[in-house]
Amino acid sequence: MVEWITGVGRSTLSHLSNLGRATLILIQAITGRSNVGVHWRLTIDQVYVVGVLSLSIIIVSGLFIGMVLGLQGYTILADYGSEQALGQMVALSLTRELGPVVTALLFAGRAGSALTAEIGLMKATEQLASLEMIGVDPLRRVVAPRFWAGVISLPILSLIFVSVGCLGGALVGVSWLGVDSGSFWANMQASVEFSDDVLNGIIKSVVFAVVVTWIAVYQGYDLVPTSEGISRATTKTVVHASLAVLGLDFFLTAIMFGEI
Amino acid sequence: MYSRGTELSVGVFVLLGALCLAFLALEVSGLTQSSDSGAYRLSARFDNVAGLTTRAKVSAAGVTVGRVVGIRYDEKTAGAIVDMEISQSFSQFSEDTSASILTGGLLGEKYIGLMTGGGPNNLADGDVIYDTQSAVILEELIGKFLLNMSSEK
Amino acid sequence: MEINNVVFRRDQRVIYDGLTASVPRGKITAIVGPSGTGKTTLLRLISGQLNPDAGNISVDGLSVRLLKRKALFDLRRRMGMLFQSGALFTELSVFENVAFPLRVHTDLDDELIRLVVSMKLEAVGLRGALDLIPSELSGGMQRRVALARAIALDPEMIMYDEPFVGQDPIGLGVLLSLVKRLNQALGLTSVVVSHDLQETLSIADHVIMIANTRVAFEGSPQDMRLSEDSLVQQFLHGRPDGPVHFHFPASPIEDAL
Repeated sequence: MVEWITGVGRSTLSHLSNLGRATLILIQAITGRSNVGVHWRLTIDQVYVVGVLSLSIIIVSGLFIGMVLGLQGYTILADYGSEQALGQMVALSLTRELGPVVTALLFAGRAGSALTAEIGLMKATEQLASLEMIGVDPLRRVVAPRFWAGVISLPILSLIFVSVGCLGGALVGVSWLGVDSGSFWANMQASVEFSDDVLNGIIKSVVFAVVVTWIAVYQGYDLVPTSEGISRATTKTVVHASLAVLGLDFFLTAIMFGEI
Repeated sequence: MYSRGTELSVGVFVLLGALCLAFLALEVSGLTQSSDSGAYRLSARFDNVAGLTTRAKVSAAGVTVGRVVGIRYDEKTAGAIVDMEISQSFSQFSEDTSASILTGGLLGEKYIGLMTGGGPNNLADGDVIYDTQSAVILEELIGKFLLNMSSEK
Repeated sequence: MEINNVVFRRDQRVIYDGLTASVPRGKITAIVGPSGTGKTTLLRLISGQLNPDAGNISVDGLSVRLLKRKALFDLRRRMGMLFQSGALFTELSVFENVAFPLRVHTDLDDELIRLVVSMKLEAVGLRGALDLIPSELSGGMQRRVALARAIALDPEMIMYDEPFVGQDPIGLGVLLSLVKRLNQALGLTSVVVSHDLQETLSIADHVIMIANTRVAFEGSPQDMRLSEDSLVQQFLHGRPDGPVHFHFPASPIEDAL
């Protein structure tokens, strides 16, 4: 029994110290004087890597999720004779939940793991240590641009995901299943509030972006520099980031939409 | 590593994001229509507006002509005043136009239907419609139905 | 550079327990010892990437562990370090790799940077490889490029972490003569960490041997060869058993059977 309690204590302490290290890394990376010109360019480079290269997976998944929503929603709503509410259903589920959450999950798998592996490889091949020896802080040079790129890219990807999803829903609902185009869009417009739904979705997405990218760069920076360490850290990034996104989503939803 | 190609694609990426934001704002949440400059305001007084929300559509003969922009309680008449913005292109509503609260489908959302009359003058900005039919409240309807059933026996 | 009574632990394992040594200016100092004694760790302690649990390391009169971040980075500008793997930036060309420290720390215009980089690469014999990327070079060449990068800012001191590991005899000879030449030509203080004993001793002026968490020997290569110490003798002649045991500590094999 005492053993067990000691175990609980030990793991709590180690989690706390991990959290502390992660926080320190983040703070050191994003604060302090830096060469704005150079870092801006590095950030743009990283936006290309984590954002632009994730576009295809985001667009394809967005389209399919929108289409599935259209199809499923139609069959259910048709039972109640409310097919015209299809637009509302598709748009609300996308803007509020599916857009930010699914994009963040895909992002964690596509870009987050790549970030971890890249930083980890730089650590394993002593490139980070070498930067330090040259007198360049790797937190600012390597970690900060990647962090900002993630924070910029994910909300944009999320917006694209939602838009493509709505179009996918319209494609199935209006073009294939014959819901009236006017009432599809009018219903959508009547029920979706820009400030409540779209803006809240964007806020969620920004929060997820910070968390996912933070986990990814921390796992990369803090890993054991061996090939095994890199593969384990990559897995951890995806698992931790996904759990964090889903957990946080509940709290954010409760704060934004649920009057608990 | 840093090339024009990267710059260009990042630029396209950001613009695409902005475009999607615009799409969500205009097409999905219909942000423009509430601030449409080419619109005029009408009000209507109802006994009961249960279930009606702001931004609900206003239609005439099934065509959307405007949007509800405000609902408030009027103490003088003990009813609800609904403010509507009607697009300028539909300015031919006569002064004896009637308004009713309708429901789209069995469980659909509430909206306002306008039925134009035959009067010579048209409604203008700021006018109030008094000839209205309130929202159908399902509970009352069922209550009446049960009452009728029991009284018939 | 002075190393005073340094104690360093990693988790529970004691790596150094009261290490004391000194590195003379302008000479080649070899740090040798069996694998796993943390020679690389010592370099990290000197450059301030790690901090000792006790004791003090001072470089040119500055105590490394007491330096603020800014002062530490300034100190590191005066040090060059050649890592075991070369640690070239994989996404940059050879030219950009060598130019990197110059771009970060100086305001030189492109023309001048081109000139300096060419000179440094010429010194390591790789000026022709200017536009290649590191993965197109052999391991030995990568190390030479890394060396050119390490001396790009004309440091006063340069540290080599296992520069001779995994080199064919020609590459080894090239690196040896480079280390020697750079030391003489630029008056660098050089620290070479290695367990390739004979090669290292052939160019070293001063030897520090680390074993069992302490300094086992410090002095000139000649003195080392003459040393009576059984540990030094074992290491020098590569005897399989001696003060450093062949067997990993275990219970007698009879018990295990």
